[in-house]
Amino acid sequence: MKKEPLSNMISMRNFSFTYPDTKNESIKNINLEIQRGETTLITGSTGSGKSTLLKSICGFTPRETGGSSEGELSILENNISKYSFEKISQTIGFLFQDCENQLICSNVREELAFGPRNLGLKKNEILNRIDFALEITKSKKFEFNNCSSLSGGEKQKIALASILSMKPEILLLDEPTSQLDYEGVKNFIKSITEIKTTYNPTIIFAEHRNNRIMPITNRLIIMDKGSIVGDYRKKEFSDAYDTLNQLKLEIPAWIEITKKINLHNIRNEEDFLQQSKHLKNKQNFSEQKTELKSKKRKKILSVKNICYSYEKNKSDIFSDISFDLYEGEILAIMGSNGTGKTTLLNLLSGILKPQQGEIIWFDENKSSLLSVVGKIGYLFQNPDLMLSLDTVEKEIEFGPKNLKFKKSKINELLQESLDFFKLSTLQYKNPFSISRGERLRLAIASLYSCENQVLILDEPTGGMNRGIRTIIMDQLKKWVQKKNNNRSIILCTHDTESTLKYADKTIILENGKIIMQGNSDAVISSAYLNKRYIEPPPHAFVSKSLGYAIIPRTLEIFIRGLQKS
Amino acid sequence: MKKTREEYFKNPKFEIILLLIISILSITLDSLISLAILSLSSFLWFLFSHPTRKQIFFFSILVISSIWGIIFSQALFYPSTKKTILFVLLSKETPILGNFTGGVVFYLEGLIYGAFQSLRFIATISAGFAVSLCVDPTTLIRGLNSFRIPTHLSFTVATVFRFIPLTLEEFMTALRAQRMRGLRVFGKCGLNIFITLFKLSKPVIAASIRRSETITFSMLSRAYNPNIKQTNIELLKMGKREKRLIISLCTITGLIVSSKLLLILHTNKLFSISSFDTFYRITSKFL
Repeated sequence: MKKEPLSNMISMRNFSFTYPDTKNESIKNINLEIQRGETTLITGSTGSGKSTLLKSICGFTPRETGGSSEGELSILENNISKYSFEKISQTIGFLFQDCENQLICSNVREELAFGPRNLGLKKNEILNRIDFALEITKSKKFEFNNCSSLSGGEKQKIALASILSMKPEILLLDEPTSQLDYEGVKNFIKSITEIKTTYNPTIIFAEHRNNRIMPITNRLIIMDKGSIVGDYRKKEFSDAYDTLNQLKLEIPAWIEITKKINLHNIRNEEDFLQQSKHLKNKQNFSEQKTELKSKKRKKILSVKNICYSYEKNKSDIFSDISFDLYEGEILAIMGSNGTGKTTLLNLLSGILKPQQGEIIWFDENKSSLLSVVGKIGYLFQNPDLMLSLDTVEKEIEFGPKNLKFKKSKINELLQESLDFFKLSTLQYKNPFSISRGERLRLAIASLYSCENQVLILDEPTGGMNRGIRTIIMDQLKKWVQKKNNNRSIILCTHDTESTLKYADKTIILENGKIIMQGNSDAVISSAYLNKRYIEPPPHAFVSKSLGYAIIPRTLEIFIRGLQKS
Repeated sequence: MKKTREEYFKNPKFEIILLLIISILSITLDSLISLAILSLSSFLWFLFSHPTRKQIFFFSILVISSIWGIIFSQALFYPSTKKTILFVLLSKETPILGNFTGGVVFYLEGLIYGAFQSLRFIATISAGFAVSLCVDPTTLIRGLNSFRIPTHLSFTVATVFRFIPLTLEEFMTALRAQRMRGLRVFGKCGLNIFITLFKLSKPVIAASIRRSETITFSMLSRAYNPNIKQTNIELLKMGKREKRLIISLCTITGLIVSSKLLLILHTNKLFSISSFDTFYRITSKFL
């Protein structure tokens, strides 16, 4: 890594910004200085102002969004308002959370050339920059591909490469890993490390997946309600515990364990592993759930040897998929992006039909979409597409009305749903005016009100911070346990932490086949130890390095075990 | 779709010019045989562009419904004075409706005229589909730019093409979500179709607005300015065989258009060459 003298790249003094038609400031009184070459993580819960801060740094707010700002914001000691976008684009690169829509051209090479061509650079310079960007992101093999043919992780790489072809001195990355699977995250981290080594730009991440990003950053900034509430250098990361904990944000396992079992003088993971060696083999997981007694419960879904391909005579997306679901169970389906998890959910919900095999719901051999309405609710990956009515109340009533429930029953279900998902204060609000986490809860509530027996959920906690993830998964668990525990959930997810904590059984898909299925802790431990493509929960590396064969279901269980030892 | 370097640098001018030639000929020609040959050639081009079964199905539905509409409407409402009645759908003498409509009659001349229009439609629509299958949006931009079409116009066209499939997919997801909550799309005597379309437009438009915001930011963060000329980095190559074919087709098209012009001048007695009688006869009969 090049060593350069530190100088101020970004400087904010008493900077505040308010979006148009809102009373409250989205970010307020920000005082921040970021120096050349720093890698900073800005974390905070959804709506804390992370993205707005990044948009302000690159001049989108208030120029493009409207609204008003106060205070000073300088880039390389020049006021941002004096920069043209052409100039800003040569200094700052912005990677959006939604990489799919960031790609403008339909071809990778065109995409990478787009920025440099707009700058009017000479042909040879543009070609050199394309090569540089492809090289640094290890994407040479995609050069002539269509963007639509790429997987989520590959699109993310190309979006990053398209910014790097502008050779910016500052990289702003807005939740860059939120839509990536474990493999995608690992590759992304590799690319960032390579970029740092090659030309050492200043990098700012806005991300709530702290476990993923903290190891490669040297500064941690915590935001809450538009303000900076914590600013820590690498050596002080463990001091951030209280603030992170209070805001229900992700805390790296080594920090949490250090704090809870009172280990001292630990500044990083290495220190932690060194000091915690004596804990080896003293672990006691007596709280760990063991055998799930499925046999005593009623079977509600039986999937037998299903095969499916999108086009006839083409190779199967799935072959020979078989599993069962029992009353009261939460079943998680995991696997890397593109492995067919959503397709499997579409088959289960009757949207698609298997070419071979059987899907038997409730002992009836009917699996068309219409035959499962009212019994099975399906939460799509983008819950925003499920909301189409004027108020939260109408949205919740929509299903029961279609299903011809009685008026009194509809009212009862409405109140129950509003209470259960903590939406009572939003009853008359427009679904499009509430926050992302609230919209997700509303989408689930609109399924809840249909009195379904089974919920099929496609990445229900994707992109949500730890606090919201916990609220939603806690509510879903309670939903399953209501009504004599005869309800069930099938969910596909990348969130191993929630899977371990809430799912009774887990299936891991790889290349269209089930490679593992069984109790969640056993499956995930085995997958992690066998280096399968699922993201390990935050405490996995600790339990592995201490020599445990099974990853405890939650970090709390792990810590209690350590405390007992 | 994975492309080779050669495919990437292929010049889409060939497909664009071919589409242009077919469009010109479909307007110029008005003999049943020549139009039938043109439509068949264009349809074969579509078939050789490797459409999927779904695309063939969609194409067939579009073409059949359009042909039916064109022929039926022309047969009923053909405006010429010389008309041969094929059959009567509703007699003038029918009480109320007969008086009100003046009778609904199916005319032979209208049917023939509709058939001509349908052949023209098949020729152009097949060629359009073939181009969309052979050329991806970015390549199309580059092809259009080489015809000196303003960059911002061609860029807008290509961006629309790029995001149409995503928007359609979102619409389908929104529809499925409603159906999973018990909505009967064809309920209330078909009235639900309109209500559903209205309801679904909200989440789809909201998603499109969010997307357009990201696209705008993405373009701004990469110095896009429609008023500034972009550097052209790719030299598109056209194969020798394609060049020869285009030159031949352009020549043939030029000859056909010239012949038709001469025939029009002759018919309207504006310009006539007496020794060209055979030429006029052939042009009138076959072109």
